[in-house]
Amino acid sequence: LSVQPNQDQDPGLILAAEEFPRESFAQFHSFSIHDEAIIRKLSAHGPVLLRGGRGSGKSALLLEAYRRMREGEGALPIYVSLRYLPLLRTDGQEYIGHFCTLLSQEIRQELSERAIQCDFGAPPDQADLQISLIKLAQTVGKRLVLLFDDAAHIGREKPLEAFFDLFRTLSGSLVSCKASIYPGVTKFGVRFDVYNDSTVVDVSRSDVQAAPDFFPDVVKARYPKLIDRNTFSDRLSPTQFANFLGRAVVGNLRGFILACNRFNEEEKIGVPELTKHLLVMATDYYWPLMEEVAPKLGVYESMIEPAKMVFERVVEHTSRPSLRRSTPDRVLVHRNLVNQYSKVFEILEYLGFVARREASRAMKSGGRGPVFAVNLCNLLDSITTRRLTFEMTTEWTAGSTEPSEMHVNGNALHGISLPSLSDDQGLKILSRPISLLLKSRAYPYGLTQKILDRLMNAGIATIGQMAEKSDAELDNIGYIGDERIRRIRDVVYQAIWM
Amino acid sequence: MSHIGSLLCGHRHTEGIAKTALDQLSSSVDNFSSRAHAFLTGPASGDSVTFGPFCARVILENGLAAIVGRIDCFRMLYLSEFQSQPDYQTGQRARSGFSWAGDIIPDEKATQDLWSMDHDMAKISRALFAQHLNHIYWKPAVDQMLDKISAHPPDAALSEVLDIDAETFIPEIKGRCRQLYSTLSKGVHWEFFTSALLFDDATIKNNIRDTFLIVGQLGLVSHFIPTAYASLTPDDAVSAYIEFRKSLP
Repeated sequence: LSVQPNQDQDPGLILAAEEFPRESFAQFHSFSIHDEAIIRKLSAHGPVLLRGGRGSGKSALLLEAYRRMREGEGALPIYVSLRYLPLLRTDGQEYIGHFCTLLSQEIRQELSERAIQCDFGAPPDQADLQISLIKLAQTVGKRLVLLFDDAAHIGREKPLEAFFDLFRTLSGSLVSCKASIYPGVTKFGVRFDVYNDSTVVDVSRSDVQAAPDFFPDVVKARYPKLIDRNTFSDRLSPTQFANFLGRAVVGNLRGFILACNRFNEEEKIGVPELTKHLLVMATDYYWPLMEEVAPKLGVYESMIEPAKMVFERVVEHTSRPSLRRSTPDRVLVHRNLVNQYSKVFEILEYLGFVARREASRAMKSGGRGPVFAVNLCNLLDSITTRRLTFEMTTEWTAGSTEPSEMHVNGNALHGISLPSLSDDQGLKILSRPISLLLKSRAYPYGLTQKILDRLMNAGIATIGQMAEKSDAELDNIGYIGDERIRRIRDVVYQAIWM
Repeated sequence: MSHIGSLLCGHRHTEGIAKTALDQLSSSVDNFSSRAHAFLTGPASGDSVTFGPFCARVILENGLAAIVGRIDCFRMLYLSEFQSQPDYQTGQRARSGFSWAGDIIPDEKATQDLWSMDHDMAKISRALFAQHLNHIYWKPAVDQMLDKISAHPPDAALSEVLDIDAETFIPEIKGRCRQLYSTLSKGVHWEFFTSALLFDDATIKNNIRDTFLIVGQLGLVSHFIPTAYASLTPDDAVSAYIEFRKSLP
């Protein structure tokens, strides 16, 4: 998320790919060989759902596919961010109406930017939209590739049936639909068969050994100081550092960039500095994430407390001293436990506290379950010594330790009860007071008290009201000019969207 | 494209008709794989657009036919014997011939009750992705394969395999195979009546890669079906898969 003035000059402050200026996007983004295959899939025929947690790099992949297609001749790509407030508040026909408006607007803009002489119009419903898209493809003689970013969120399931219905209907031989979705999206509606109507591609980077050049390349593109050998102690190479850090944040790019920003301030980096910053990240990044995201989870907001408790038990269990020589960095959880706390594990994956590394492994004590890689910041914080050693960095990066096991018959999660879910009453974040956006650990780039006072004096009480104000309305408030409007928009954007 | 033939068709120490059939399929898979691999790794070309879908389609059909034959030897022996008969006419459709719908994709309705007393044996599908085969062969084989892999030293070539879950493996592969078969058909039969539909380099390469990944994973798991014919040892199957996966960009 971009949230500071003049950030265009500082890529370290931009945490979301979709907020990069298009002209500098390629300069600051790197892609692994595996990513290349995904980008190709996003350009090819056929419907694709790109699934990954918050900050896993889904938008960057969609935007890179868009950028490359735009440079080529094969297809006409349209990138559509579905971060549009009316889509959050509606479902059924009303949702479809807003969707048609948004997509048509993006298509008209694309045609205009590329000087393609073709009038797309404003189809009002699904049937008209489908006809208009096919007509457009035939007129320009190219296949359309519709890239829907932020299509489906955990906790925002009301309009999903309408979206997947549209996705299925619009997909065809002349129109290839691609959409980014989050882990935990399970409600696809009655007409959409996820295995037959799409190909699901998972974006996962927690196994840094699978793409050992990826994180070093990201560092190279954005932090020249952090690839300089002289910045590091004798035993730690820049490549080891980048891969260890990538593993520490379970491959989450948002977490990785925030961590790099911290290390970029250091004169020299060795194991003590790694220890220090990982511990700070546990307190200043991971736990506040729960606080920040809770009001955006809709009906699942009440799951945040059990998620915290489950995660505390997971790291406690994983870091518990045992006869093993090394502390494991992964945990194998019996599938019955995962099923019992399914939404909790989905939230933890979604936020990047853990990443699913294996779908099903046999347990020594019987039964099977998935293996999760645990973020190393919280894990280190839970180890008695709270001290990292060089050997731990190599073992954890390589994933060479045996995972710890949480069996269904054990008492690891004993006593953690799950609340019954209330009816979907929309996102509470919209009705929260704007004072929530004061600069804090949850909103490190938040608003100052002075700006908040001005907004409140102008009668803006809630985040929802603020989101609906036009630039002109904000400009009429004293002390609020162009620069502050942009900052307000950035913070509101961070508050509402994932 | 190393080891793809043995991953799908098993070891070469077989005898009789089965040897003839599996050797033929293996040779065909190897031959088309090396061509498809060249299209996948090479620059965009007219040849890749013209012949890429055909190569991928042969790998998909022959590869899955080999697995059908190794799981259900009677089917393979029957087809081999049948095609050797003087009455066999290449210009005429054989009702008992190998077919995608029937031998690979089952003609069955999803049912909760696999073991109903009312099921008629003749109506229980023996297609590769049928529900009963999934239950009897594939699910236990996936778990056996995962047990083997989890004891193996970490290897980047195995990361996708570790994402496989016994419960969803076949339903997902079935959906992907259906889509792939249909897409490749357009390229094989050149069913393009509008320029917008023509396959581009990304589509060709994506389909070739998907075909390799699907047959490679099915091939690996097939060696963990205890009653399958000509199976590699678990160690050899994993080594063959690693070599195969490393050669796939």
